[in-house]
Amino acid sequence: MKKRIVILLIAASICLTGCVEKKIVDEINIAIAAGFDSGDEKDKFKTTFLMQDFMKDMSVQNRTITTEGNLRREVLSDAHKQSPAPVVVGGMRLTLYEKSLAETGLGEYVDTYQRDASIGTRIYFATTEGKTEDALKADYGLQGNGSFISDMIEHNIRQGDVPKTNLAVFLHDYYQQGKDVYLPHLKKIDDQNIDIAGLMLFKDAKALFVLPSEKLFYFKLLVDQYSKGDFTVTLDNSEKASIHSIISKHKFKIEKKDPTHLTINIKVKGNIKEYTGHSLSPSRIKEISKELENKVEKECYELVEKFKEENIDPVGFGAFYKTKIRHFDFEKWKESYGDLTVDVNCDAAILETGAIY
Amino acid sequence: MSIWDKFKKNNNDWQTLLKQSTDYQSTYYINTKTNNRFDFHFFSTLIDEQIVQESALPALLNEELHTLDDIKKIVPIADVQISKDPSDIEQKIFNGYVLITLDSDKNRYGFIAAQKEIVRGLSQPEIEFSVIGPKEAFVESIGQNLNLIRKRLPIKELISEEFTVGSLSKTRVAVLHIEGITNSENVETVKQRLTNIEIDSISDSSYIVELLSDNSNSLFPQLLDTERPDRVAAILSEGKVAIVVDGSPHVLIAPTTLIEFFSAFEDYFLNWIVASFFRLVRVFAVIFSILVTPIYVAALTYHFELIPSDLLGTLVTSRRAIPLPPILEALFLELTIELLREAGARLPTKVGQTIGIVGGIVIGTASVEAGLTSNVLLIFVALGALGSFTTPVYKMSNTIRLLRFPFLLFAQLWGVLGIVFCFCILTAHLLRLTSLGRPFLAPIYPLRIKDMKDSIIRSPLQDMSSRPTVLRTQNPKRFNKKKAKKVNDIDEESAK
Repeated sequence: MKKRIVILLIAASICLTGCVEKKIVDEINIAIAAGFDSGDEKDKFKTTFLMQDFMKDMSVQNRTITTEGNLRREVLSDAHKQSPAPVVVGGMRLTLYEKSLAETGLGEYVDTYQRDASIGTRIYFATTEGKTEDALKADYGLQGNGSFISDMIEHNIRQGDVPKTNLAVFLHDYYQQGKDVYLPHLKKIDDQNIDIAGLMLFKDAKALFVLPSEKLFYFKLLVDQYSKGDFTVTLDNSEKASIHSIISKHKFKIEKKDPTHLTINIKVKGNIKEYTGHSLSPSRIKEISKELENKVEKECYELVEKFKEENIDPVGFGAFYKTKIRHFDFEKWKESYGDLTVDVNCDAAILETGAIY
Repeated sequence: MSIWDKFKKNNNDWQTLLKQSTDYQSTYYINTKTNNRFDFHFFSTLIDEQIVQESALPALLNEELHTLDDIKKIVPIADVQISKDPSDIEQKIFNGYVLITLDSDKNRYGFIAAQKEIVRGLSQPEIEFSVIGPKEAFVESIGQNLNLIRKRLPIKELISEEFTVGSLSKTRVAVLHIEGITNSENVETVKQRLTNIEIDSISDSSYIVELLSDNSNSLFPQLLDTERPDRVAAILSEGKVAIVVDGSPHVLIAPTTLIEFFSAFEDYFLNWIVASFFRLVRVFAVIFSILVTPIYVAALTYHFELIPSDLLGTLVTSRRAIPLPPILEALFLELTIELLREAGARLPTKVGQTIGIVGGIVIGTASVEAGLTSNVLLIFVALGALGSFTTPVYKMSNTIRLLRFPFLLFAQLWGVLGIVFCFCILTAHLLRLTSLGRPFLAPIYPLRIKDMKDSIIRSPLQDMSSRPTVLRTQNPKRFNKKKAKKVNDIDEESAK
């Protein structure tokens, strides 16, 4: 019996070796980023794969392959024909969508990403103002365009005002009722520069409009934690203070008597980084935080009103209501979304005003 | 049937065979008082002639000697034996006794002990060297070794039972345990297995390891060998059995566990936090040493997704010029290190130093420059080799060196899945392994939280107040934990 098992194991290990596809790291072309553009013909789209060629001095040279097709897998096999080594998508860190393509709906494009087990769920999605091919073909820095853009998004999520988005979050929001997806929106400035121009808001996975970057901080306050960002408060005596937020929390509260009324409590903690006035007395600090509260309340309220006006729900009010109300009816919710009244309360705390008084 | 018995069948004269050896000597003397003729038979290489000349001979020549029993009265040597059995002759003569035959007492034989002990002086432990702590190591003599142990455990409960193993070598093997502590089942198992051994010669205690092991096909040594008397004494008081083999500077300890192979005895001389840290480092080093090259091969051959994107550039650039696939590259380097180690072990010490230079500098750098291996892998392989050297027990470090090759093979065949597969087989094997019937993987499996005090970490001495539960000792308590350490203020003491 034992012998039989041993023989079986040896046979299996010899016979099954062919079953696993070898992908030796220097004999494949690892696509680090992909971009989807609308094609010249209808129903077709262009795909650009960005590859990294590692140079001897550790710098990275960008190489792109652009193919056209109407099925995503077909596009990949076309890409093989333009590459010296098989193109693999497992190392993908970033996927860009052209704005005009995103406006037609992203659902089917995301589908391949959730079916391919080799693709991680932490890759970033973004939309671009112009053609993604142009965005990927530029030359942004030594680390390569793919790393440049994904690093840019990553640190702005971690330490900046871009709310967290990646494949996992995107899919979660996409399949969840009562929440609309959003993606960072990139804009290529010139051949060396690209920036995050704002946040693309979607309605049913179709791109709708771009939230400008000034509003990003307030949007992140509503949807995410740890909003970090700098903003300026002007006091009555025209003195200005720059405040750096380090931590934020938000809480939704439904009024029991009137479920159409929602209270949003936001807590912001931050430091004063710059102050044009003479000295910061405790009363002045209070004034500043009061001013800050007013500003957050106003901006956030405006954002919610804007969403209601556009009939989109990127904050996920619907998803929140679903967790609070038994037998929640989404059809009814959609109809009554416009009637929702929102109250924003902000509680700001200044933690630090500087080392020297 | 021994050679001696065969010979006796053909010829009744026991001297014929002995006389063929040139160092066998046989002389006769005549007692001055009784005119009785007596013969001396001995091997000049085995006896101390000074004892014979200064103690035995003057008395035998000048005092009254009528029968063999008179020897006991007149010779000032403690070990004098009289026997009627001619089969004793062989055993005694070859153990350094002088055989005395008396013309008037032909059927009996007298033996006087005059052993010449050639003992190497005590030296420092070389394999289990420790910076602090005792510097004594065992030598090749069983008498000396037992002396070293008994000095550390001067109690009547320390029992030493001797056996003779090997039909040709007649090796003396002593089994030591402390009565009242050690589980008698363990002692009986050792004794039973020792008496069952049928072998012609024992060259070293390693023979006993192989012959006593529960599973001699296993890569893992199931008896711990040590050259430190302090370790043997400590482990005996823990309730284990020690086996001392004549002619071997390594004393065996049984039953043992896997964890014990990764604890250096110096751990007990250091602060417990420092010692625990070193043990953790050692365990990490072993895991690292086994897995680093297989993971490299698996990641580079199958799982490029696992490689962080910042590392990818380094790996790809270092591998670009290399014509070999990762597995051949890794095997090439691993075999190079094995060759270096083997060459270093076989060469005389002085020549051996050049090996380090040849291996480390020439082969290492040159193979990278020649484009045969990538410098990233070179670092991994070198670190892995370094990790395998941290194991305090030499036999275990050999095992670890070998273990990585199946891992490497399966990493190439099935990637990380292969590594997991190999790991499962290794775990299953370790779980089944026993040492003297006691689980080898204790206290991890079966899990004994109480025994964890001296495993991956080394807890403070006063916390080690009980003996390992897996040993099922007769007295599980070592000392009173509460009374073990009392730090009283000197003023309090005087106030009493």
